[in-house]
Amino acid sequence: MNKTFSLLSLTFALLMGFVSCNSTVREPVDERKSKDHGDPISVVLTLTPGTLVNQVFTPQLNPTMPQRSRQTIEYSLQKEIGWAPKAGSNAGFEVYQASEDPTQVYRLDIHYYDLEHKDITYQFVENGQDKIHQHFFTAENVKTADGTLEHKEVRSNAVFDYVYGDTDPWSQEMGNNGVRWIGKDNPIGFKGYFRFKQVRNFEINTRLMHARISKYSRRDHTVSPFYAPTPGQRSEDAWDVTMRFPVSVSAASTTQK
Amino acid sequence: MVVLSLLSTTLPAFAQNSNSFRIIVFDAESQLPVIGVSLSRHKDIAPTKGDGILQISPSLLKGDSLHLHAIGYLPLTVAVQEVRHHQPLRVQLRPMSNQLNEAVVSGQRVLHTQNAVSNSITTADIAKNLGNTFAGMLEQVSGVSMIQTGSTIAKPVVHGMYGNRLLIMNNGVRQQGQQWGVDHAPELDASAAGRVTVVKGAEAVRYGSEALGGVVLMDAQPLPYGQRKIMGKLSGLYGTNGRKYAVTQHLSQSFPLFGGDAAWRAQGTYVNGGDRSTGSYLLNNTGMREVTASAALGWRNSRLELQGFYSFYSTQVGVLYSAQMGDEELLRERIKIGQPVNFYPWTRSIDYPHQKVVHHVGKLEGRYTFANKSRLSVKTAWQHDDRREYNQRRNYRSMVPTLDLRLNNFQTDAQWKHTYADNWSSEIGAFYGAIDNYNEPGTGVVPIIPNYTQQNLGAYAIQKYTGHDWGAELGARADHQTIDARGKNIFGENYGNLTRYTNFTYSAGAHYHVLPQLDVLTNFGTAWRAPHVHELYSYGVEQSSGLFARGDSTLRPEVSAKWVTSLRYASKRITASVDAYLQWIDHYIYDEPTKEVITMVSGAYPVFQYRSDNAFFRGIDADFSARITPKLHYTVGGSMVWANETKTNRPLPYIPSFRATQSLAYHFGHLGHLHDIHAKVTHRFVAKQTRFDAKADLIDHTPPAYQLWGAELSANFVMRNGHHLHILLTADNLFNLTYREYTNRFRYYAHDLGRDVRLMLTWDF
Repeated sequence: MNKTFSLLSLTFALLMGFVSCNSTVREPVDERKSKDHGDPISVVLTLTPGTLVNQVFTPQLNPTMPQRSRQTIEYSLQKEIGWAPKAGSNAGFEVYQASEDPTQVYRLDIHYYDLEHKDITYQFVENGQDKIHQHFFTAENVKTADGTLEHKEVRSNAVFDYVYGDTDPWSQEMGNNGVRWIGKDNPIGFKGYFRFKQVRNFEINTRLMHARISKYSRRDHTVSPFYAPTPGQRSEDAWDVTMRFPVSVSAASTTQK
Repeated sequence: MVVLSLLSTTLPAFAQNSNSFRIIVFDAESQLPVIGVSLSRHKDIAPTKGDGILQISPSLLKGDSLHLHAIGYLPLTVAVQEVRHHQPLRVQLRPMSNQLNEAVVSGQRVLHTQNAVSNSITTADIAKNLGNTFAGMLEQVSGVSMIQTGSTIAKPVVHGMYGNRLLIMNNGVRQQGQQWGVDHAPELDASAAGRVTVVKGAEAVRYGSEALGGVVLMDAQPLPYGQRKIMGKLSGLYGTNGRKYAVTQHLSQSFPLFGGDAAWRAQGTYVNGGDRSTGSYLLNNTGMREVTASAALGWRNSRLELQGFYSFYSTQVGVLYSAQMGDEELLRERIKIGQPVNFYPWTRSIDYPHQKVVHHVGKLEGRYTFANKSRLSVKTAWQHDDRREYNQRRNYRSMVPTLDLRLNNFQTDAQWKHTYADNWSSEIGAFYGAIDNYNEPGTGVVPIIPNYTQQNLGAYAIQKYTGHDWGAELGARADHQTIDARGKNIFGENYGNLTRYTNFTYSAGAHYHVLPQLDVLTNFGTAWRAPHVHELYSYGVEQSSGLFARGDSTLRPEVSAKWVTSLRYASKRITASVDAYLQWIDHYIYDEPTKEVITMVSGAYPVFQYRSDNAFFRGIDADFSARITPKLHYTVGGSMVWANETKTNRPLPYIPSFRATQSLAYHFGHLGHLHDIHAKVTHRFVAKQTRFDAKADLIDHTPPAYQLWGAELSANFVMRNGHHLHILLTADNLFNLTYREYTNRFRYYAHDLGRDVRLMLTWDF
């Protein structure tokens, strides 16, 4: 009996070991290729000078001021560097202080891309996703032209103005049939317009908020301004994408009309 | 403390003999009849035999009370009136908790050496913890605290150690889950345990790796061999904080089979809680659900015992909305606010984010006693753990988990034990374990740990001498561990490796019965732990902490030496114990802030690098209890831990501060149909943690000291059919204090729990 028990026990124990556990480690999967990979692999920010008249934007260079027709920063996740502008793209933007002409603006377009460099911006807008997403833009490390750091509490809307220029459909431009301007009531920030008020050097911290329920206030259904998410939004909502880049604002040319 | 429990029965098997009164004596822990019980001053009454029955002739039933005693048990006083009115009268004797000689109680194994320092939580105290977390239940043992992630997730901490430095044995099975994560609580139902023992010494020789801080042994009630009637318990609880309710049921029975005895036990628990509250505000999305069940079936005869066991554990816990991961700037803001900003109406619903865990354990065990009384035990167990964490995701994809870890574990061990020459015993054992841990594909989130398999092989030998007044033992063990890890990082690159570790551990322990009331135990042992894959290979943001963790694939195993000494005093009116320990750990692994900040897609995070250095832990636990009068009982206990790296003297993080708990209990006795009426007031003091490295934390200060008051009122009601109804009313944080606890990782975002008043009814049948 004792020998039988011992033999049976050991045999059973060994058999269980061989059948129950996989001893070969399972091959890992690249989750960046999964359809549920939420983070964009790269983000392209494009700044274009022009005019905004009756909600229609026209790219236009001011002939009195030397500037580029378009500046692009492309963010991607890079080894040793992290999430940062790619080599070969701009590291920041160089712009001019806003003139007295209120129609002169800088338009910022933001696009998100996946691993195959497919534009996935629509995932943040369509299917009701516009109701929970909003980009915010805050000025940080603001310095005067001579390099003096301004007070930490300087409000972003003293440094620049930003108007949400989102449209419905989101990928279409104002001026085309059936396209509506929704930026005021449904700000998302994939399209928008800057006017830089002061000659300063600073960083713009661009953050994408992913609200838990809605970006609209529970109390009065209003939205937060471009520079000031509420404490509740900072506390409870997810902040999916962040990009911080330098902006250098030069004085407008004296020959400017 | 003597517990008096009276059960009356009308079982026809015990027909009353009009010529004598009967008292049937059971062991309070194992529920088995106690042999050798006698009555003081009645040497003519024969002690109990295997049936536990004392027969008392009417002429001897005089006076007010009878005094029962037996070797290895605390004495019991029984009222003569009770003996006259309840026939037969069933009573329970409680084993002495500091018994040093190896007590072999039929059907109950001694699972740790008597030369190791340990504390047990009894069945009665476990029962009071229905609905509580496993770690919360263990906190009543001095030297044990918890590290929490919010109000619903807690891990036990023994002498400053937790996670995979603390081994948990669940009914003889090494608990295997994702214990590496600070926000991964053990997948155990506290109320299913019959007995829980915290072994504070390094029991690594018997149990192998990961027992650096000690071992927590959780065992179900022994199978009730010999109990022919179905007996059981049904408990219900309601608690005000979170409007939590819980139900648990235990059933057991035995029947003859194939010339031996078979027995079974079944248990199930359901817990449902909604949003909890601090002293001053609601904590939205902190509800929880828990469903557990277990079943055991055994058979035995004089030589052989076979047992099968299965348990199922499932839980879903909400995570406070404002405790979401965020980058450095957001974290700073959230910490500055320090509590939720928005509040929503109370609900039982659990929203995103939340965690879901399902854990299965299956075990087959056999024990054979040879003709020479040596015993061979063989055990095989299987576990499956499924852990999923959910967060807010866009495009209505929140139901796709952001973390989906699966673990399969097989383990088998064999032990042979032989007691001979009156005082000597030898024990040898072998262990094999295998783990297959993998990330289920499809989350869309790059996993922070790789897939891995692990194989463990171990063998040990322990030689023990137990004399009349003293005993000693020596043990040695060899272990070999192989880890094969493979993962893909955030850049899509492969990483991982095959690593092998071999280690030898040894231990020496002794106990000495200095005086009839005074014992000393001392134990010195080494232990080891291989680095976990998350310490070797992490490269990413940890969801629970908001830190960027960077592993080090060159880390070596931790090797520790721990010396624990305990003094224990027990007299009729006073019991006291002091445990002191020193523990040196070479290559202690921890994550250190690097001053670097890395920018990820969602923002900038401080980088914490896993590294190793030597560390030194030491501390002291003390308990004292006194029976001021026969009805008034006072207890006080406290513990203190110091832990730092030896090179820089820097304090280690999340080490609990000094804490002390005291209670004053009054036993009212009987009032009408109510028996054992008992009231207790408790007071807990927790000091501010001053041994703290601000650089290793998110903020530069620790919460202030705090004091919590509690109360308890209980009574037994004996029903007509002899069943018992136990009523328990408890209150924690009676004055609804708003406070923060240093070892709660959510203290940055919210305060700890406010008042909780709980009513529990238990029907014993």
